[in-house]
Formats: sequence, structure tokens, C-alpha cells
Amino acid sequence: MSGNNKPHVQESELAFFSAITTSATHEMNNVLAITEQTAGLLEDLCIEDVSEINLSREKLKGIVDRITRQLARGSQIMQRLNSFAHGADNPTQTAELNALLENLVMLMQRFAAMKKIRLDMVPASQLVPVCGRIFTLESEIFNAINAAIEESPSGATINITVRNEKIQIVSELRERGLDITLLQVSREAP
Amino acid sequence: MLLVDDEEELVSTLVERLAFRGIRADWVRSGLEALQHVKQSDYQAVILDWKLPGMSSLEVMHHINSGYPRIKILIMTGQVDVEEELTNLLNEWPSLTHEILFKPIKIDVLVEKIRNAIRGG
Repeated sequence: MSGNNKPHVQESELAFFSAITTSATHEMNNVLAITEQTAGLLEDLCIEDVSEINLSREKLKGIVDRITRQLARGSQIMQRLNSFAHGADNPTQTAELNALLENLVMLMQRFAAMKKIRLDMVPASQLVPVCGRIFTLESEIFNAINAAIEESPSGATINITVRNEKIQIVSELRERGLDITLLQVSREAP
Repeated sequence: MLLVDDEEELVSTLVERLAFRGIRADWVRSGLEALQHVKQSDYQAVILDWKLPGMSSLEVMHHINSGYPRIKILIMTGQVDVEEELTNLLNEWPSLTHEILFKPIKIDVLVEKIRNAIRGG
């Protein structure tokens, strides 16, 4: 915290914020592109001579389902991005580690998918409250998962497990297990 | 022609819409699949998403350009922040890319760009 009571934002935290928002908005752009083309397809079908294109009820239902799926996907991306942004609301705040990590892992799936890697998260069996600079914590977890993605071969699954105050990140490729990073999160009473 | 994008619902819908406009197209979800299709079919143009999982679009472009220089390559991207990078690429290797398309794209614009590319315009 600086003298004027404003939190000091590190360069790595800005890079983290930028990476997450860029990725999420890129995905939103894909949602909009699919929705626009699907609506356009409906328009095309309205213009065509129905007797010539064999337009069935199933076909129409499939197109409407596609729009519904994309709206749900877009809504989820917006909720996750909103929740992520609230992590920077206050210099010090309380969060629940399972929920925080689940949100972050979902926002990072696209990073992993570019290397054909899957991120799997196993929450702790109980709630794990954490208190402190939540945004800094998210930034550190992001860096650790990113390092695991960088180190893992294509086709691997990265398992992220919450064990009370610890988060374990393990990369697995078939039967070969490789322990990449162990991130320790200190827990304070809220 | 061939459309390559990991967003299956986008490419499959575009292929349907192009068919209504007299353009026959196939679609695949990765660069590797694209190269397999290019070997087997006589495509005039390939539209590549700039951010593909696995093999990069640049690698795919180099493979197509070296093996099938007649095929026109159009790049499609949803990232406006890569415009400069892609424009530089066009300038450096004019033979590699014919056009850069930004998502979301209007179907009529897409059709015009495809026809221009195929005509060599």
C-alpha cells in the first residue's frame, strides 16, 4: 500500500489483468460472431423457397438451440469476468478459495486449449476462506497455472487441487504424472 | 474452399450460409486437419482463424504456400489488437496472405472477399 492509501499495482498484476480480459473478450467476440451468423442463417432460410431446401422442424430447432447455447455461454463469460474484476475492488478482502479458483480456472481454459491441454479443478471438501490482497493471490495462481501450461506437453491434463490452505498443480500425460508446482496460500482469520 | 476455426458452430454455420450463395466449402477445427484436407481436395482458397489450437496458423500458411502456392489464404481473427501484426505479415510475405478478415464479419463482405481472392483481385 502506498502513502496515499491506494494499492500499489505491480506490472505482473497488470499483465495478468490484461491477459484475462483479452482472452475473455476474445471469447465473447466468438460468441457474438456465432450468434450473428446463426441469426443470419435463419434469415437466409426465410428468404429461400422452403419447398426447395427441405426445412424441417428439427433443423429449425437445432438452429434455435445453437443461439440458446451461445447466449448461455456469453452470459457465463460475462459473469466470470465480472466476478474476476471484483477481486480488485478493495486492497484487502475475504474470498473463498474454491470459488475463486474455479472462476480463474474457467477463465484460463482458453489459454490451455490453445496448447490442447485440459485444466481440471478439484475443490476442497470444505469452504476455504482466505483474506488479503485477493487480486495478488489470483495473479500468483495464474502465473503458477501458466507455468504448468508452458511446461506441459500437448494433450496433457493439469489437475488443480485445493487442499485446505494449499493448492496443488499437477500435470499428467496418460500414466506419467509430473508434479510441477506447489503453491502455498497462507490463510488468515477474516 | 476450406474454413479452419476451432469454433465449430461458427465454421459450420458459415459453410451453410456460403452454400446459399453458391460457394461450396468444407470446414475443419485445426491446422493439422486443414493440411490433411488440402492434400485430398482441390481448394481454391482457405480461410484460417489466426489463433488455432495446436499447430499455429503461421505454420499452416507456410505449409500450404510451399506445397500449394495456387491456394489463396485469408486470415480471420476476432482480435483487433493483432491488426498491426497481421498487416506487417501481409507486407513481409504478400504471397502468404491474401486478406485479413475481422470477426464478426458480414456474410456479404465475406463472399466478396472470397470471390476477390479467387479471382486474384
